[in-house]
Amino acid sequence: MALDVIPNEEQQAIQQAWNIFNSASSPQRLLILRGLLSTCCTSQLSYLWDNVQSLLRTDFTLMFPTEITLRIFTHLDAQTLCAAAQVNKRWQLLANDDSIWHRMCEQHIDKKCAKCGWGLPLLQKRKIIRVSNNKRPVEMEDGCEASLVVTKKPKTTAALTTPLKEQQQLNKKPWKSVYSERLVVERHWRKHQVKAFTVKGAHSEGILAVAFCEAQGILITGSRDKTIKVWSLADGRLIRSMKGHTRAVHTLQMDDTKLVSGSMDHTIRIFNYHTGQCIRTLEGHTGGVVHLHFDSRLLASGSSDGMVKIWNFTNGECSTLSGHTQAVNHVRLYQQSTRLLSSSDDGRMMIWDLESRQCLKVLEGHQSSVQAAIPSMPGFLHRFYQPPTPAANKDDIEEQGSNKPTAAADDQSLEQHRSGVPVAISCSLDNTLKVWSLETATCLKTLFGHNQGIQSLAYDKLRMISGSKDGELKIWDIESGNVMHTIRAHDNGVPVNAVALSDTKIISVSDTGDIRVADFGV
Amino acid sequence: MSNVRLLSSDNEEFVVQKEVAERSVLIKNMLEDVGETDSAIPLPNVTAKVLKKVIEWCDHHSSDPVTTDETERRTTDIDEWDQKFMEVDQETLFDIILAANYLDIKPLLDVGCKTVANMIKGKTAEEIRKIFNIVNDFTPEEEAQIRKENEWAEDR
Repeated sequence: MALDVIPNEEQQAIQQAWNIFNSASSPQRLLILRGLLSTCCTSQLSYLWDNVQSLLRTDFTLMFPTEITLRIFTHLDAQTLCAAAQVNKRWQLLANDDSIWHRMCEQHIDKKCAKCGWGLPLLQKRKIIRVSNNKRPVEMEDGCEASLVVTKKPKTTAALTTPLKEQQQLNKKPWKSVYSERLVVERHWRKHQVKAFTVKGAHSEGILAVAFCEAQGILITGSRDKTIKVWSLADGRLIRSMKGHTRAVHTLQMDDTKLVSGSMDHTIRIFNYHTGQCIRTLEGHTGGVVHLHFDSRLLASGSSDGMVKIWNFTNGECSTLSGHTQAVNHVRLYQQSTRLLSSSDDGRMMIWDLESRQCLKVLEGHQSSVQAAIPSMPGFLHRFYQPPTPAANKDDIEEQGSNKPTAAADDQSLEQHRSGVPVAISCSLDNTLKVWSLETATCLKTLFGHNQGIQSLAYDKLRMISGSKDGELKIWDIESGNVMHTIRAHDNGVPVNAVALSDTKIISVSDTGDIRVADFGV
Repeated sequence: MSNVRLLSSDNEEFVVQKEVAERSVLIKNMLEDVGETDSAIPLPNVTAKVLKKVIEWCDHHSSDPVTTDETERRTTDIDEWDQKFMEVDQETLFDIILAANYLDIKPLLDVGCKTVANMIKGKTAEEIRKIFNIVNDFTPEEEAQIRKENEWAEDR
């Protein structure tokens, strides 16, 4: 009912009632309302209920100081923040606030967010180079990346903040854009939206090693056909071919200036890959060089005769580590070149102390040849925990009880937290991958999924790639250890001999001489 | 256990255990500055209605350990009692947040902020406008532009 449809007199009476209320003081108003409420019937009270709710709705951003609004917004996810930015002009300003998105970036980039489980790639093309050898790629801590270390200001709070800040200064990009670009790439990974091309018959025989540098846009392969080839990463065009080795090239690693390769001809060669010139040849192995890994100070190489050699760039010294009973398939320097992890056909991995040249620990558990074992990079967080001590060892638990809580009791809280305990991930011809604690040398988890031996492995803080003898590639979620995608990257039954991984690309090479480049950054 | 008297903006007096009142860093500091006092502490920014709620919260949480660790409060999970406690109309909720801010009760401010965040979470712009009675002041062109800018976030 509207006011103007009732008789004039009644209109005036109602108007008067409103006027009385309007001119009343606030305590008086409450008094009037109390009286009105007591005379209302249920349907009238229901009318009030319906209308009061919406009248009490207010835009809190107008009431609150900005810092409280921003505090509220820091509890939101990206999707809601983007919805909030579309509410109105005021909300747009608040929800696009750089400090909120900086925090979002800190929580998600190059790590898995503790809250939502999403991690976003760093996308730092300019400064990062990944390297692989005949089996797996590694993230170099020196070499190309050295430029990053130099430009880093000392004593940064988090390793991540400095590169991110630098990047922003360079790009002058709002943090929201930094975040969105990376989210788009991460979605491509998750949904496997990829642009891929294959260079068929890139080598006349199987390719055993691959390395690439996104900053320089090049890709380098080493083959059983004795040659090393440099390719354009963008289109797979051959740039140059490097000869010198007299037998199969099994392993290679590059930095921004040089390429180091190892061959079944027992030698290691250092090339200038910009010119194709061989700078140096290292001789000393009495078997084929199956794998090598170098940093700024040391070069480690593993041989088919079971020996590992450590070459010192600065003083020219060379020492031998003897322990494996069969061919060494993989070597990795870690912990600032003070340790080495070696993997062998004898089914074992060994942790070596490079100061004393002693084997500290042996990792045993694979049923067959270990093709690669890669120690986790600094800052790597995971959810692989020490399995709870079996009940049979109850006495042991009680003994330890005084200084640390039992594993079982802590299970629940552990599940919610990530562990920073350094691990190594290994792959084997027994079709499994294993995660090992480098502290206790125990196997924390075995990952199943491949139907054939796993010859190649690569991982970063977000995902893991493994390649098998049957031509299949698997992308694993590093957090859960679950397979996200299985890709038939190469012809059925053709072994994937090596893989290399970056924030946006997977490169795999096959036993029939094919190179496949898969780009998720599109 | 000594008591403290608090005076709301509308002149209502509350007698509270010192331990409870000291969940507020503002009151704690005041008491430290003033020392033992018989006069009521005036809180000119807080009405009796809101102060009553705040005291109720402080009373329930009086024995909580003081957390300084930001990360512990990072998640949007709110414990059951707090959730019930925050089931109030928007005005009261916002007043509690403002009071917690003024009285410097970080954990309560945090619960309040999370409650508001949970009201917004997962909503579309139109839904948010409805919840808080907000007028869309974008022109259709601006709106289209902004939708485009934020498209990337959808479909997760």
